[in-house]
Amino acid sequence: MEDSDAQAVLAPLRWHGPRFYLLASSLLALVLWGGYAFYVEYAQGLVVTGMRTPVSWGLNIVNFVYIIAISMSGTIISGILRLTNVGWRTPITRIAESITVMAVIVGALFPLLDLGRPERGLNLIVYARLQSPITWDTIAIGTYFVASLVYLYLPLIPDIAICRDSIPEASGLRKWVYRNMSLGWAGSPRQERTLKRSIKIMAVLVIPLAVSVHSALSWVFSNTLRDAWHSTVFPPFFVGGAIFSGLATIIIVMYFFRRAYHLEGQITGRHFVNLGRLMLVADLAMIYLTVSEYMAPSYVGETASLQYLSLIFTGQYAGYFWFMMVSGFLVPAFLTAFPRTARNADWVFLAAVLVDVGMWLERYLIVVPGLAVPQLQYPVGQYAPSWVDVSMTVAGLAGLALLLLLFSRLFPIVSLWETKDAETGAAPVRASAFTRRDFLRNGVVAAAGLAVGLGSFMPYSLPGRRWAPVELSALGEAVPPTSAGSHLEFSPMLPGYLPAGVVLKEARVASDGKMLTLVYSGPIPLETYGHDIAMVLFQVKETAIEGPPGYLPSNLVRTRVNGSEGFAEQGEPSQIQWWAGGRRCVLVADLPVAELGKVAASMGEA
Amino acid sequence: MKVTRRRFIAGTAMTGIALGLEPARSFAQQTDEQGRMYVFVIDLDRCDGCRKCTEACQTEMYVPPAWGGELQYDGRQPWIQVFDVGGGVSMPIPCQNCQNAPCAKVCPVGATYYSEDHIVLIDQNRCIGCRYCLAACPYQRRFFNWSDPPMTEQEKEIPYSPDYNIPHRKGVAEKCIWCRHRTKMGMVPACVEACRKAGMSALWFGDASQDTVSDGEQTVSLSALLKGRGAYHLKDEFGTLPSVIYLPPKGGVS
Repeated sequence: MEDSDAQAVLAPLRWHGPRFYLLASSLLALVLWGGYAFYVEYAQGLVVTGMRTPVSWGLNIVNFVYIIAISMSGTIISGILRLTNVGWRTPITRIAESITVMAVIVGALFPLLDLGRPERGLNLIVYARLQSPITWDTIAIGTYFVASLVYLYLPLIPDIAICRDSIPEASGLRKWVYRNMSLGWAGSPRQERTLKRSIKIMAVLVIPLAVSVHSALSWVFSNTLRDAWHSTVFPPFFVGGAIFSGLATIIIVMYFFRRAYHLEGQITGRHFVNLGRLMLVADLAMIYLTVSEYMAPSYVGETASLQYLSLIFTGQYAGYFWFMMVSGFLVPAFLTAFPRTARNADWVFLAAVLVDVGMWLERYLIVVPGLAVPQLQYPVGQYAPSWVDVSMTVAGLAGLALLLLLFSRLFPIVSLWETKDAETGAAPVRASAFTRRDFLRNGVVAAAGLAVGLGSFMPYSLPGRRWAPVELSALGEAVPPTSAGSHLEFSPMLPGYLPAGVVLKEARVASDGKMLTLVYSGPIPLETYGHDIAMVLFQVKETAIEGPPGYLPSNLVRTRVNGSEGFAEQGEPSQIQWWAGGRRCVLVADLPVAELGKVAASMGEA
Repeated sequence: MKVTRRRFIAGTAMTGIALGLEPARSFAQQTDEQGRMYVFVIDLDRCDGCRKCTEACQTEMYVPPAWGGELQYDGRQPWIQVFDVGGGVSMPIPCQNCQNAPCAKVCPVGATYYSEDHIVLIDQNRCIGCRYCLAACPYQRRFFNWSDPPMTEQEKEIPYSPDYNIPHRKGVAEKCIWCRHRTKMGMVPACVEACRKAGMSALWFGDASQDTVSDGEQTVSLSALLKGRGAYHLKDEFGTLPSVIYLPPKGGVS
């Protein structure tokens, strides 16, 4: 490596500009916000998250699997390419290895933050039960962390020595760190021989360790009776996904470092092209594994499997699934396959971003719908992340970026001594500079690509669309409101007062004569019932329960309607339920509770 | 002791064998040291769906609240839950007390364990709240305290024991433990007693090894109770070896 190149690599260590402080402090602010979210969760319990049974795992576990998977990057680039002695790897091994260590640190935090009793986290070691897949995870991740830390540190020693010798302006503390961490490196042939041998041993070690980590992670899921998880293809599925998202993450991180630290001389277009090709291979493998995972269950059609598959193919989670398949798998495959885009760093970067988004969704699709589908005839579970879940997710990603940023300011992010030996060669491909025209053109295509995915995603992610609309015919036969009484086991009641603009649309009577539903249209529609229904009033003959339950959740307030006991909920929509004359009445509308109370109080025999 | 290569390999192999034998052991041990083998019989023909069992359970065990869209009864966790399965048949589902329990198998800290009389218990002093047992239980008979449950003064006074898991607290898993504090004293669980007091006697509890079950008042022969009734376990095909026996309604579903 030319001396000027070495100076370019060392420049970020010499001078920290205002942009660094701005970026670092905003990332730190996000991490601290996540810390606050965790404090709230710790103080009040997991009730502040969106998790409820049966979806008892949410974003925390999704992030755990996703971020640990990213850590595969160091192994694949650095371990495998080092063993096969691929020359072009040298400028990017350091980036890959540092992602590995930082991702394991951040990823392993997530399950600990997710515990109902985080203060008992040490029980995982003190009372470790070897038969539990979670213990396999603890052991595998712990071992992997130590190994990848050593694997990051060993090739760093000669570079720390360079820092020690050539950054005279470093502060006293940093000088102390460099002096002690370089372990007296002088670059003697004997030292170099020992180091290279140690690195080689570690390179051999980290590969099986990484495979074991992602397999153990998959066994947490596949070693249960849940239909969505109980699959033998899960370990390779997880390892493949880890390689895939690991490669994408290296491309993203190296793109930013290259631009921010002006490392165009070290990280060339060639690296993007080659990593893009590797990502294409991983992409095709993932498409293959995904088809394998879903093929057999959808062909055989077991009830529980079908319930899960219809949930992700056409149901509530279809937006996520098709976004993953199209924008996360197929579009990146084309982007990295066609020479026009595959030879352009910006396009490869764009493909990598899509891959990372797609792979996060893939983890979400495994964890959340997998738990939502019951094994017996129970209702399908629901999950909507709360601000705590989202804050901790953002904080985790910000923390990962912050760790990488700090690392790159303390140590050379491109391996200096290894690049010195390696043939760098002229890049055979265009190392693109991002011109304004490129920016516009790529921006348009990127927006189109995201729009395709989001188009299928939006209908499912709109607030309030958590339930499929209720078919009115499910409520029974439509009858004239005046003659409803003749079809019922009880005499119906009609409200005398109606809110402004609310008009009776129809009355429906259940086939067993035990339920009457009065359906009203009006200005503020109820989303649950389609477009024009604004208020619904149920009357159900009830003999088993004569009043509201003894315990009520905090969102329900006890109330009385003409002397009968009941409860009310202010919300979107609001509701009042009360028990009167052997029947239960339920009034639902997107109106203030007081208004509903007036309607309820005006009820009388028709 | 010097660890030679031979010793290391032998030791590794022995550990592997020991681990492999563990699940086999839990299959084999069907009775405890006294030879007891607890069973729970649920006669669907007699159950009229009054839910007195759930109410009695919630009173007896100070059962904590359930949240939002969770399975619940009266706003609280339904440790024994009565489902309307159609055709006028009601089906109470308590913890199945599997003898190859998925929840006990996956617990990373051994907080879920088999008591010496083979009831699946949970030590809430050890539970870390990872909720793996909730994910593992195919019967969804595991519950979780998402926040600190409201507590009566009376409940606070009770010293904690895994035999009744009172007082309840946040961040730990909950389950029906077949009222172990009662069964240890020779009484039937609270739900069984409530069912008999409601005049149905659809729930029976007893010891299969002695061929006796009781509704809290009369004790009958288990085999006589089951005879010709087409008794079955819920989802036997899971291989979980459940200890609850269901008797289908007589004369089919109306």
